[in-house]
Amino acid sequence: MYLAIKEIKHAKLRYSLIIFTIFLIAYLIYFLTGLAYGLANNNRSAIDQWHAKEVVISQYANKNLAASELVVDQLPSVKGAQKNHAQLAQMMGVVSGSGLSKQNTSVFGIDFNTFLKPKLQKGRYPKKANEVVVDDGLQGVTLNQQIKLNGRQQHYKIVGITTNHRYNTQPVTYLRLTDFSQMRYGTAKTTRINALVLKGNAQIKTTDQLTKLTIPELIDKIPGYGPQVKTFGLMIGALLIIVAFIVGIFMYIITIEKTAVYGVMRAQGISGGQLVGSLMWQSVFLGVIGIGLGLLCNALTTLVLPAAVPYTNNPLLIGAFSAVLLVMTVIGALFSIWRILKIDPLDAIGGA
Amino acid sequence: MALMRLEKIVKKFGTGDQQTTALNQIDLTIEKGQFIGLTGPSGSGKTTLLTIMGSLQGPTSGKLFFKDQEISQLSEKQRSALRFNDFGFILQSSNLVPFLTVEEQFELVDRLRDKQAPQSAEQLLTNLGVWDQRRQYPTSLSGGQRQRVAIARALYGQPDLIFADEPTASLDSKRALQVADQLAKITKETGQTIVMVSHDERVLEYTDHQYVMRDGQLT
Repeated sequence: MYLAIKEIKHAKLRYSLIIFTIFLIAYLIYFLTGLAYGLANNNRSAIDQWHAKEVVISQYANKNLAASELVVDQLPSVKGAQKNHAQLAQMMGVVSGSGLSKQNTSVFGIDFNTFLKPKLQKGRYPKKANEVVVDDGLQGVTLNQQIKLNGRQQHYKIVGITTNHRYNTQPVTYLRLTDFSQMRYGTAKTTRINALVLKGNAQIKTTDQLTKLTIPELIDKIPGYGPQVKTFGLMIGALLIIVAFIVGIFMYIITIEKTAVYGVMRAQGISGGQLVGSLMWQSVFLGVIGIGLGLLCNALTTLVLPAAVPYTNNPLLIGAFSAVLLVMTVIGALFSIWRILKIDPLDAIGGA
Repeated sequence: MALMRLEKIVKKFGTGDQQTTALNQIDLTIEKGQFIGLTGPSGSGKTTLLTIMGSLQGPTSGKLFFKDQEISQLSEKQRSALRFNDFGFILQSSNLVPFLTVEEQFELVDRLRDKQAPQSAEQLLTNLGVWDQRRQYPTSLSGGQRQRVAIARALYGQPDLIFADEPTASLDSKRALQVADQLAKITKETGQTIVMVSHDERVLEYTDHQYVMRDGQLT
């Protein structure tokens, strides 16, 4: 460690360049992670808060919640506690109203007495017809405001507001199931829903008309979600591999430059293991400083980014990527080990 | 007990028609406290002999003993430990680590040894007239200062045997004679043994015994 620190302090510019490169890649990884997680969150946050285990949708829907339509009267009975299953109706919609621009929303029809009810940031749950809960992702919404859905004449009163409840990137508007049916099918009787959501010990025997999806499967089938997560994952994975190569190339060039010095040190009896240890410590120091700067810059970015940018830091993901980055930095330095071990102490004396 | 003993040391390089014999049946005994000079024309095998004695490489055949222990067949790890603990090296080019200051060169040895050297770095550097340069990096020292620091570094930890390969080659004649004089004094004062390769006859006059290498043989 002594040699590693001394050399870094002596050749500040050279090692600063390596740190700067690691910092740039680390920052890019954190930025992409923040965007990827933020976007993913925008697709699924409304579903995550159910803490459910699976959903039942129609077989023909190709695992797509929006395309599913279940006839309530034809559903098989559900085994398990009543509180562990709930009906869900869903459609995409447009919110409008006085002082509001037209905005896309995902409309959820639910029974507010079930576990599907969202956690409110302010207000209350609907108690009577035509009362709704909306997410604050809809710009300009306030409590007691009247809104319209999908251009219908019916006005809905906002009685509760949630935060970070989105589905398929759109803020969710929650209606009572009866109001949803009235809006979509023209009758307050709930005859059709999109899915039956199950949690805990709830079980249902599916028929050839029905299919059961786990929550991760349901989320993965949200249009655009899978390709988006895979694209970001590939980009981040590629960056992690690139960092290993960049550090590897830098350290290898530095090692070649230091062959004569290493030769002298080997001649003096400093073992190859001690020199390799120094190289490894160097890569750890460079990695820790570069990653630390990346984390700092990421924190500053979070402060200045506009709220409209779907950017969310997940401490677990950032911690995991930081650890992988550090490992990749050390792996990069491993390229030079064989070169150090190959150095002949005779090089110090001109190869006698 | 001889400090080092060489028995019929042979060193060959290359194979087949390209094979050359650098050292041919070398026998040599070095006693403790001696200042030995090795000279001879270029290519005669002086440096090869020095590197074999210093365990930087092994002989093709023959036996090498240090304090009556055979060291010609040691592994690289064992040879490394031997060089670190028992041998010192003064090389033609500086044997200093460029990114360490003068005093840090000695601190490195202490850290790797996990114990304090019997003789302080301050004493060695003061004796050699380079204590004032202790906070400087090797690149900011003159050639003479660098070589004197290298000598101090080689003596640090009081190794039994010091190998010097043309230690005065990069110095002017006045400084070269001063260095030779200092090396001679060290052998007398500390009982350490020095084997020095040099072409400079005036420098060799300071040694106790001189050997001439010619075509791989010692005369």
